[in-house]
Amino acid sequence: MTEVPVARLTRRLADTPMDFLADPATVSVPAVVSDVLLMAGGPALDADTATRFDVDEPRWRRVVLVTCWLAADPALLVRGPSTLSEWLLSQELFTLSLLVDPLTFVHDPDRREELARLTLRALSLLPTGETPERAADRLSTVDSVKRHEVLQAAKAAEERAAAVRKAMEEERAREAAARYSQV
Amino acid sequence: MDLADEWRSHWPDALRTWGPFITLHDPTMFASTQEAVDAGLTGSFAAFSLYDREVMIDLGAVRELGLQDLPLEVLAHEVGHHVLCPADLTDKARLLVRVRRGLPGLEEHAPMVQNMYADLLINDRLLRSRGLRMAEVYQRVRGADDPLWTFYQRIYEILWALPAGTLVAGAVDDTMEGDAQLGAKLARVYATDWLAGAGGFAALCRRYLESSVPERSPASGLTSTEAPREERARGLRAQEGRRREQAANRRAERGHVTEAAERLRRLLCVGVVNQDARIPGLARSDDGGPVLHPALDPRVNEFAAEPEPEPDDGESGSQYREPFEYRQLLRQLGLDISAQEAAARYYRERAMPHLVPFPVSRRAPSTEPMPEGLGAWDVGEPLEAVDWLETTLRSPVVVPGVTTVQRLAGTVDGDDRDEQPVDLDIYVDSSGSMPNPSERVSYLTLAGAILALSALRVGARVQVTLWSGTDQFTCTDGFTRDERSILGVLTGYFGGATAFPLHVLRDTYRDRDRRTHIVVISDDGVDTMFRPTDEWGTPGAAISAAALAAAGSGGTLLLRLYSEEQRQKIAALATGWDVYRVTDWDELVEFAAVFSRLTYERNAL
Repeated sequence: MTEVPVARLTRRLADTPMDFLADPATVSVPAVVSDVLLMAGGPALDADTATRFDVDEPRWRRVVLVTCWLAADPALLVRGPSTLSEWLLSQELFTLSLLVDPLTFVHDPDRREELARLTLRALSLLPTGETPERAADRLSTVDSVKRHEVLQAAKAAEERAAAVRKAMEEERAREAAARYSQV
Repeated sequence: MDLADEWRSHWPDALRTWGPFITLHDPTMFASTQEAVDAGLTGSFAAFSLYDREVMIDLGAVRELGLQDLPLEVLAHEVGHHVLCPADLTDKARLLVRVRRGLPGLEEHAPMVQNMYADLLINDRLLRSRGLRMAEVYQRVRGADDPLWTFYQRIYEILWALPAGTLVAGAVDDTMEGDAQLGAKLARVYATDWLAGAGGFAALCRRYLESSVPERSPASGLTSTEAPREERARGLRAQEGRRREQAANRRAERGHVTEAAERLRRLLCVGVVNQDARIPGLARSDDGGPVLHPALDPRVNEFAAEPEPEPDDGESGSQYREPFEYRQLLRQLGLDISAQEAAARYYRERAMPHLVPFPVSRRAPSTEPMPEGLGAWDVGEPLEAVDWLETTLRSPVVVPGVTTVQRLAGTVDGDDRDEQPVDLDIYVDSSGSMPNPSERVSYLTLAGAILALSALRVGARVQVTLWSGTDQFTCTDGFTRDERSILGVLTGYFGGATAFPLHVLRDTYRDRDRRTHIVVISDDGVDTMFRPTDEWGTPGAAISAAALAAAGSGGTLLLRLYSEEQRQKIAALATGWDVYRVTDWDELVEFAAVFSRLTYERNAL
């Protein structure tokens, strides 16, 4: 398996040009995707496949634009146009766009690492110096979908605990009041 | 080179990790744990003192923990406590307050959680910005599998992108993983505004603390454990007893934790506080409002909704914490302080902004001494009057009464009218019907403290008598200017019967020539000042009236009464005395205003 340094990809994401961060309504996403596919050695999108990138999902379109900028790295282009196209149209990237503000893939270090690692995994590439287990472990820590689940669990647990604490405090207050009223 | 010298050689580098202009004097190194314990460093391998900017390292423990080859990491970490968190004593106190708010019901663990939080911030900064091997420090002591330490170590793994299991030895479930992710994010989000994140960190730790610390008996809640402690504190061996109790608690607690957890606990640095350290502002309770759990804090959890603003209940009162809570804070900060000393500090802090003008009596134009040569000093005259220089000039062999001389001085009229402050004589009722001022705030005691400190400010002397039942009283050593003993007696508590010490009042004014203002702090039990007789059968009313006349500067009764009728009844009994009812803050302010006005009126006469 080819290895690519994660740091290089996160650096690339941090340097994302403003054109890729522009309002997706003003950018032709299929054109950008076509350019990247051409760079990867494949054919551009035809009228039929282009419509799949022309849907009314602004967040997803923005994530696709940022991912296109990332995928234009020479180390990733070698994986070929079909893998790339599959990743851009994957359900995983769509779910991610629903959970995370797309701009954080440029501005937040953890989210940059997440998109870089997810892309590497989708393209069957390994981060430099990491075993598949190590890469999976690190990805699970920054994975937003998993993070969303565990944070929801933590939030629910805290809400339960807070309710129990409140009930206990009320009970104590009642007991204290009962004690004084007997005096 | 021995270990101490080698470690000391890394000190300049440790200082430089925090900046080129950081200066701290050399660290104190203890060659063995026993030496460290003798010097007061217990429970940890390193300590920092914010009072005298000191760093202490127990090299015996360093060897035990296997950290000999990590001097820069350890020393830079200790410097971090002086530079980043908590950096000064006031912030340490504020940090403790926030952590306590995040641990309702488990406040006794606040100092440990506070240390965990400070260590977390410093370690992350050192590893990320300075590239120090902080992860290795924790790897050396890996092995604790109880929930709290598992959770804490998992935060480090996430922060530093370490593979799962590098530092963690226990099981991590989904909830803990979520909490650890929140903890890691919190450490980054609040890295520069760490006080704001402290409560959230404590709230995260709370669940794991609950399952890690030994079950407590229902009676061992924080306030309940304080109560027996109070009893002992009154004895002569109060401090010794408390130390023994703390040591026993530590031993009992240790029995429940594994050796690995103990190693991790020892890795936490402790802050040492000088016993005389003053921490201003601690009596106020404006500590930043309720704690928001990180799971509900959008800054930490991006999936959380913006919290609804707290409804403003318009209450501006209760901005001060209670004395017992103030005492707990001081003790948790590391001050080995008695209940009475803590109460004295509390009332002092609260009284200081409200000092009132205290009466000053003016006398005839002052006289100034005028030296008029030398005269013989004879045996029986005050020894301090001897002019030793002139005596030895006259004869190197000093023969008392023969060669000894003293300066003689006449007087000339001065320009100013001499001012003499009126002394203050306070009688504090400490019977069972009065509140214990060291537990709950007593506005009477506060009024007493305001008067006493106001009197001291203008140079007066103060006598305080704490009384309860017959022969149950304690008194300062006459009229004194020792603020500590004055406030100590003022904030004491007997909790017995009610019998005013008429004999003290009588004896004080038998041959007193300085003008004095008498203040009695009591409730309706103040009638024991007028109704009974003393041991010689003199009626109390006569003694009180005589004392008031001899004092010459008026008398005040500050009473905890619940109705105006009660006040009028007492006022009828206490002819010549100013009777005030003080049960809350408003009445205290009113009293202070009236007292000030009367002071001006008296002075104008």
